[in-house]
Amino acid sequence: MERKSTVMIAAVAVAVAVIAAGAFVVLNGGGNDAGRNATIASELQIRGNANDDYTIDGEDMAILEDIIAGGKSKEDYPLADVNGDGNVDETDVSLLKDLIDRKSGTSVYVICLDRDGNTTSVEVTYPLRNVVPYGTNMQLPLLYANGGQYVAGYFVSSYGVAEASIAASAVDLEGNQRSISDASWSKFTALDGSTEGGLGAILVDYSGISQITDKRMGDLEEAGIPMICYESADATAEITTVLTLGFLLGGDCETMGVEYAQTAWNIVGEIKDKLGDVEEKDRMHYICCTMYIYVCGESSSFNTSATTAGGISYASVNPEFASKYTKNSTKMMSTDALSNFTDADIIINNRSMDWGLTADDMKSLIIDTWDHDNGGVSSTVYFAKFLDRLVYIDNLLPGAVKLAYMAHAMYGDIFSMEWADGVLQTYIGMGTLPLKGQTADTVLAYIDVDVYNAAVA
Amino acid sequence: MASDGEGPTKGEFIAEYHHLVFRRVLLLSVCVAGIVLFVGLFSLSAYEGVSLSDTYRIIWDHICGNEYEKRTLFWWADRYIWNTAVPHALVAIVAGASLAVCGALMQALMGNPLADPYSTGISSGACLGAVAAIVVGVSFSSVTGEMGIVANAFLGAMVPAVVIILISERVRMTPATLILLGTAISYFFNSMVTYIMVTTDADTLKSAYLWQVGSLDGTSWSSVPLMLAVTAVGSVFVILATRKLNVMSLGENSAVSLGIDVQRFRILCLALMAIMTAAVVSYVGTIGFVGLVAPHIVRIVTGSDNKFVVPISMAVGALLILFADYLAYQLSNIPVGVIMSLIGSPVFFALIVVQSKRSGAMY
Repeated sequence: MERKSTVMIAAVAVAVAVIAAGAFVVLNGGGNDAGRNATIASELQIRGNANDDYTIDGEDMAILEDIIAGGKSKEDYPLADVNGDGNVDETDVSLLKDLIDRKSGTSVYVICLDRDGNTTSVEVTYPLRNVVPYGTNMQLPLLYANGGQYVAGYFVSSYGVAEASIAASAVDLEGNQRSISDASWSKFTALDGSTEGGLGAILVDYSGISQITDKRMGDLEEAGIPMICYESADATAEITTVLTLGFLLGGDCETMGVEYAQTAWNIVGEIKDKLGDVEEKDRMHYICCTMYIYVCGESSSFNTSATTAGGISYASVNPEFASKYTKNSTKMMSTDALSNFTDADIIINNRSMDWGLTADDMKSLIIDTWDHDNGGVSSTVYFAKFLDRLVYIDNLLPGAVKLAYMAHAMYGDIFSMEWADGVLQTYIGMGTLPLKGQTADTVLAYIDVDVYNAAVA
Repeated sequence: MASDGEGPTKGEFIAEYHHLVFRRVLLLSVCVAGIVLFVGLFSLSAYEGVSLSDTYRIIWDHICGNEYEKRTLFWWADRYIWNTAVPHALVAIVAGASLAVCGALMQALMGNPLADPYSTGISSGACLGAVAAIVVGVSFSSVTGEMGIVANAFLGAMVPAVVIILISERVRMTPATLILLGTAISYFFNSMVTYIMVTTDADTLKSAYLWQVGSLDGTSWSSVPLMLAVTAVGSVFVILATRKLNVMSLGENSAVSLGIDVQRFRILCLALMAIMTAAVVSYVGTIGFVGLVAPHIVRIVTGSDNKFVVPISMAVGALLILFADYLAYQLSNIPVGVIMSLIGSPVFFALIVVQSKRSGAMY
């Protein structure tokens, strides 16, 4: 009997030990930071924009009618399917007619991203009202379309001047840049419950999508609150976001969205044209940074913006750099983190800087940015070998303005500072509310070593 | 009580009995009222836009099947209270009740005031199972994901219980030997848990450690059915067995002389306690002190009759975890296990001192 018990105990002990040992054999691998392939094709991200231009009008209707008549193939015009049911028929024609008439209460199907970064369609009611934005990269495009008056609540507003046009009646839901607490989400749901007709949509910047958890997504779906999500940190994506939000808000917002986007596309076209003769070997190889000492990986939206501005990502020509900085942003672990990559032509550092600056504010902000204290170490130490090739660009600016300053930073002989300042001036003059009342003297758009030296002189 | 050297009179006996009954009713009433209050407070935490009285109304309306208009304030409140606060509170109540029953059972069974549900090494077995799932993704069952951790913990918890039961069947053991055996098994499992944990990264280590400490975060309706069913069935059995437990408390020889098959009864109780504890621990981790402290509180207030100690301990255990968890939530989501230990240890200390002063012993 005793022997049997001993054997049994030993067997259990061995089994447990084997399980524990086996556990180590199947240790989980590290987190996969592979990027998504989130692509949005059209300019105006609305179903019904059959010809994929900046608006919905009679030209789209003509395409729908041709498809129904058999003259055109619906496969060639994916956005002709207005309600996204897979068919192009009289229902789509009826919906499109209401959209062309900008009829209130019409269902609009917006092309955007889902939580996994895949393209999807979301139904909202035209005109879009009582929205709640989350994330600076979504909030500012909304405000650039002059949509501040239609904001019912916001999770965070960090830039008092740039984001001043959020309506006075909008409720502060008390989130922060990095997270939406449960209490903030409760406030969001309470706002929906207390808003007549409920909230129109929540607008989410994809970089903050982790805050829309399964549970919160369940809330949105159960209540029927649409989530419009874009990855708008990229300058060109921001342009289409402003255009689309402007259309959804309607009226003057649509007019502003169109002007904003057309001006931007003109700038993008101008950059492309002027760099047309620049050979590949003469193109600038850039490294983008953010939050002072975070290095951007190749797929970062800061990089895609710099590429639009005519540069070539340094990661694309230096495998060692590419393998070291794979994430969207990686903090430099030492002050010589970039010492092996000094053959990069330029460092484009992106920093969000609010406006409405006095001369003294401007001077302080320039010095603080250039000499920023990163836990006791100045940024200038990290970029010691790049100080003549380091620029900071204000990340809050309209996408086209950022592109203009990036183009100037890389090709100063083709794109002068006056030209980039002119682009900023164009947007200030456009009447977009975040820049209302600003001048070139109250906005710190661009810092390089000359600007810094002038400030400290 | 005694007068002039004589024993208590009949009147004094009746007065003492009434006093005891009053204390039992009072303690039970306080616990029930406290549980109701904390369910309301939890609901208020889950949705701050409504008042405390509204939360009770919302719960009552939900139970009665009354629905609110979609996307109104009360619709949102109902959604949050019913999907978050109510299951959370229910899990706390069931866990507290179950651990308290198991604690009372163990203390009576072992005749040892220091015995608790974890004395047989169940918690360390559950830990190994859960940590294996969290850290290295090893499943002892075909279940994966969050439920995989629960299944692993349950199976892990059953290993030490099965070992002890198998040994008890073959070797006649005293209660003290059983506890020592449980301690030895705990050391064995803890060593493997420690080994796994020191080899992992900081984030995974945090998850594993949080599980180990015991937390009600993330509990939902899916956590309720198994825990509730096992606790309900197990508690009914224990309550029905309280007479035998009273006899066991008198000592093994007395129990044998009164016709109890001590060995068989003890194994049956151990098996039941193992299943009940495993069902709780696998969902909420190893929340300590409830099983130890709740029966002691009840004994001090109501006496040692297990017919009352067991059911009232359930109410005290439920209230203790609810209170600790509410406090944990208010203190920025500290795991309930930490708060429970923080509260439990001084309470236990005080109980020992008070009881020792009163009678010189815990029993």
